[in-house]
Amino acid sequence: MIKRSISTILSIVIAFLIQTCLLRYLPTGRATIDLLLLITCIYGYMRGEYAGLITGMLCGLTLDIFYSGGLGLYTLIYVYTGYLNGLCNRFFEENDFKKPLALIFFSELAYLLLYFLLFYVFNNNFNFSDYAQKRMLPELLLTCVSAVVIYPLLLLLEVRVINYDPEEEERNKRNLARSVEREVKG
Amino acid sequence: MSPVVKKKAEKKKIPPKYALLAVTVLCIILMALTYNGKIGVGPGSAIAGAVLVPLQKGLTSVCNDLVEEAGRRRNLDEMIEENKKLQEEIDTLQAENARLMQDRYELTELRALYELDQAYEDYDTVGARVIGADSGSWFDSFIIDKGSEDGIEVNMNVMAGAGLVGIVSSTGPHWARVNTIIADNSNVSAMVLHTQDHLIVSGSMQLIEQGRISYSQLIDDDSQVQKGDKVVTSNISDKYLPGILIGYISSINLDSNQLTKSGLLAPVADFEHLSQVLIITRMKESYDQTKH
Repeated sequence: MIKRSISTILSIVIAFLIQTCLLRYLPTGRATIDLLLLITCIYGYMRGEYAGLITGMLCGLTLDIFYSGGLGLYTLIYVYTGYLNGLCNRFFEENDFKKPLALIFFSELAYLLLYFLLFYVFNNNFNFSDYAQKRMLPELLLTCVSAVVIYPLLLLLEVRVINYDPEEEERNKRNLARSVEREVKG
Repeated sequence: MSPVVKKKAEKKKIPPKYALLAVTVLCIILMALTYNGKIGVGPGSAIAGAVLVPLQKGLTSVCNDLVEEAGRRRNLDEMIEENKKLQEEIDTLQAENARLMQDRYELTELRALYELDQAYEDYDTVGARVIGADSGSWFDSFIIDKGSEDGIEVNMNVMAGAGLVGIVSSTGPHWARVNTIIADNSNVSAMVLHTQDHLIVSGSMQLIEQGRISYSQLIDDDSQVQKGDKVVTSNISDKYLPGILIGYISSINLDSNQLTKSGLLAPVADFEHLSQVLIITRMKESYDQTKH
């Protein structure tokens, strides 16, 4: 539990620093890589609803404090992203990389569409084609590409370092057995 | 089953959907309280600022050094060439400066004669470093390394070089967020310097990619405003101090109502490469008070 919390907080801090300090040196125009959303999705998917919810809350609060006029808007979006990805935790498989990537893709797509609605349409800017070309599609692509690198890293960390104790191992095995049973029954 | 596992299982007895519901309600309450400004972001920003801002500062300075170093190596030849050109430019400018100093002397004399207030005075400024951008390479809002404890307050004007960049929108103890004039929701009341015609400068992330911001509602019946005219912040703005240079007019179109004109401006501040900014410590409100 402590290891998990430390890894969550560390990854959020690192992701936030990279996103706000380093990525602006990339020549990508308005598009960026949504590392915080990526981390929320990944931890939600790997650890379940609670972890997704808490990771989302921390990421959202950080963004709210630094980048929005009040508190709560980003938090709400990120909490739901984490929670919904956490619901997919029951389909979690260590060796399957397609599912998490698909999840990240759809989360990012939903997030960007919602972002357009909240920050463009409500500011009377209806130019969707421009938003799609300059921001949405590049950002979607960049985020998915970086997910290909980041997900295996976090997975490795999760399996080899964080979950590396007999108690967790046992629980995982039981979960696996249960899911196999469920599949057999289904 | 070991007791530790049991404890964990007990802990998770609240179903996540109720936790989600609780967080949702909390967020909505927070939004209702903070977005209309009744309650500041205060304590949260202090905590986050204490942890994240020092890290951002360090990382940004390292990055800036690296980028500078890379640029230095690449551009040495170019720089020698540029240096020569600049030297020539300095010579011409010095000559021009001497002439302007003379004009200025004359101006103060004449102003004294007319007993006019000094229209465009020098404002006191504080320098700050940009330590975090919002998203992408364009700075529609960014974070600087000075905050309320360094004397920065909300609504202070921010400049880079000679041009207006934006306005401080929130502060923490040692950081502040600046909303720039190129952001989509930004509108600045401005005027053309030599005709004193008022206009509205509106930001657009779409236009800034071509290096432009838009303006509208310019009333110029005699068509005196020309391309290249200076646009400065107007004295009727409620947040911006008067006389700060925004940019130069680059195109003029007559609106369909045949009354007002709109078009594009080339901003003076380089919004793609902001690293140092100046914050004017004088507020518009205090400016008005001293004037009356």
